[in-house]
Amino acid sequence: MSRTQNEDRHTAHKARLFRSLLVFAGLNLVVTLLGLWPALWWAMALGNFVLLVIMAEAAAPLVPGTRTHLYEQTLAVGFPVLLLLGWELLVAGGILSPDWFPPPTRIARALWELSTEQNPFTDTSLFGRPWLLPERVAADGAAGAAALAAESHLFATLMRVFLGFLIGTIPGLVLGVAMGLSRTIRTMIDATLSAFYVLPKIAIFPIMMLVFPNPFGEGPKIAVVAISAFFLVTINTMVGVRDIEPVLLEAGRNYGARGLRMFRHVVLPAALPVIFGGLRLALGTALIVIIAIEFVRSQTGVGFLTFYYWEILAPEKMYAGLVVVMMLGVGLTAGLTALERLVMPWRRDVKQKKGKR
Amino acid sequence: MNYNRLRITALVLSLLLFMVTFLPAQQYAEPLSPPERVVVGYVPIMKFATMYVANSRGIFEKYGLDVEVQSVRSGTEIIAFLTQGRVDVGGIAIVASTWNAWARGMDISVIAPGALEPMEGSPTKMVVRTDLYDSGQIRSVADLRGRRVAMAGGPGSGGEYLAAKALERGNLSIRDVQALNIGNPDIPAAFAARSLDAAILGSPFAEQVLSAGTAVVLEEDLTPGVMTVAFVGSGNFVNQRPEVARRFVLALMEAAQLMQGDEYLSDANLRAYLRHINTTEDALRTGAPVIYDPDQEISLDGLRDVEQVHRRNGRTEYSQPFDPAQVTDLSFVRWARSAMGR
Repeated sequence: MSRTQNEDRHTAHKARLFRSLLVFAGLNLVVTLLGLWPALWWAMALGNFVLLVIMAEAAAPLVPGTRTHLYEQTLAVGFPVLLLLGWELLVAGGILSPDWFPPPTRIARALWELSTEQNPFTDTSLFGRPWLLPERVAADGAAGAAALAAESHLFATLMRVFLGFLIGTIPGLVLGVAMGLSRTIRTMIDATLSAFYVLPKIAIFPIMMLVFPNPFGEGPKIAVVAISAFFLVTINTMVGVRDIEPVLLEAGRNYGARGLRMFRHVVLPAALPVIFGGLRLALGTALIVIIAIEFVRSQTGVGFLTFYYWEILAPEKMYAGLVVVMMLGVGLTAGLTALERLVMPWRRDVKQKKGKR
Repeated sequence: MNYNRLRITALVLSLLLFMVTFLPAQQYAEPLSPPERVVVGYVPIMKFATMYVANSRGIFEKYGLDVEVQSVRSGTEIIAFLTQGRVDVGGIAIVASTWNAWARGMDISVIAPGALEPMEGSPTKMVVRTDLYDSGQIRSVADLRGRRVAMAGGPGSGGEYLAAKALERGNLSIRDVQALNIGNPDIPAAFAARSLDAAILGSPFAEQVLSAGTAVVLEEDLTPGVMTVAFVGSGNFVNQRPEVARRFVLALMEAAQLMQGDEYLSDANLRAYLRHINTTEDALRTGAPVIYDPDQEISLDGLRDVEQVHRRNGRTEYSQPFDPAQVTDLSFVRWARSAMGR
């Protein structure tokens, strides 16, 4: 492409960006002056989003190659910031009720209160007081640590998710591999597995309460999380193992791999991407299930905290609880992605090569 | 002739005096034309039965009200709909969320009472596991310290209020026991599995555990005569449509008068109850009735007690007492009483 053509394209992108900026500003000004925001705010939010996408598309070719990564990061961070700003403005303009849709600044304040203030009646807070751990362990040993952990709603939720996930995942992996490798086991179990898989797991919580000696303890909650994770991991592992390309197995055999060696060096690495897909789904489902259980059947946990503040009508604290749930989702997924990179370093290399191309 | 004229004049004057004295109430209560639409959200419990009777027996229509009723699971949802103007009247329990809503300045107010707790023979009791009672481990409320006590509705609910009132009798608070949020239908099974020590239990579940022998009554008549539920009007309904609100309350009062004594279980009333809540005729016939005050008195003292208990339990977002008189509009009940000639 010649230099003139490049300059022409550059100018065209600039003009497009300028035009969309003009439409964006003009539209917002006219609607504001005519006082139409309350009636049209949904349409305006959608329209502004479309215009922002057009502007970002137009601006992208104007960004120098060395700054592309920074530009993309700005888009990734800027969009949620704009959303929050829009929310704040809609409340300030009286379009959204501050009682039911408190502005982000109030939610941030409520989150700060939940994190820093101990409930004087239950002696609990969102994070608890982990900094006292060395002191309590020195004084009372494990009992001191347990008492301190009981003060934290976040710890309660995390503990249930981790234990449930672990208890469900290990047998899920074993059964999934067995079903993937053995036609007999697959034939026997597949239909049963499919039938149980579609059950809403929250619906089996009352049954779990009957199974455990202490129906109001941690057992039934962790069991339901484990069951949720088990089905997803089993099905994904089975699919991962079954879908291994025959050429890989053949190559393994040619190199003399049999039995456990074949499993360790060929089957497992080949099935791992699909297995990790299942683990990601299972972890997300585990979080959803435990939050739902905590809503109605628990005295601790982030789900309990969220629903509690709805029930006593403190909406900003309820939203703060939802923010914590979202952050938990992001954090847990990031943790699993990091583990995936650690376990499958070759995938990272492949992705990098693809990216370079 | 003069004598006759005098008699006629006296008669006319008497008639005028009668009209001045009695007819205004009758005139105010004339049906609205065209009928006015009223959307009512309610938590389906028997304490709002005056509304069920007024709706099913045509009393709302009689006063020109076109009432749409919507059953809702939680009072907090109704508060949200009331403040958004989607619901005109809410039949809700006066619980922690209601007090927090008022403290936030939400524009809703009590316009009529729900049913009052009976003075004696209340259907809601504090029951304790039979083996704990028989072995002497729990013989009074004071023995419940540290024990697992179930209450439906969870923190800040009506169930917690009743539990707090029961525990007061043993100088305990809800923080002195392990308070468990368990739905009423799950409690009999929990008693059978011995996973509970005590519970606040309403009808018909209380009768169920008592007849099964898994629990015995520890305390009853926890809040005699107290109003824990009410009809709450949205600000728009109360301020912009007072004529409609007056007739709504009048219809409730008329319904309450149709529910006194044996009439409570009349065929027409039973049909009304069963149309609005999930229960059985047997449960209605065997359960102890609550009080449907024919005068629809709103007891502010009872409301003050409810507020104080929730505040002391730490369920309110404020710490200073909140006077229910600020959010109670007695004018509708007074008008209805006058219209009924009471």
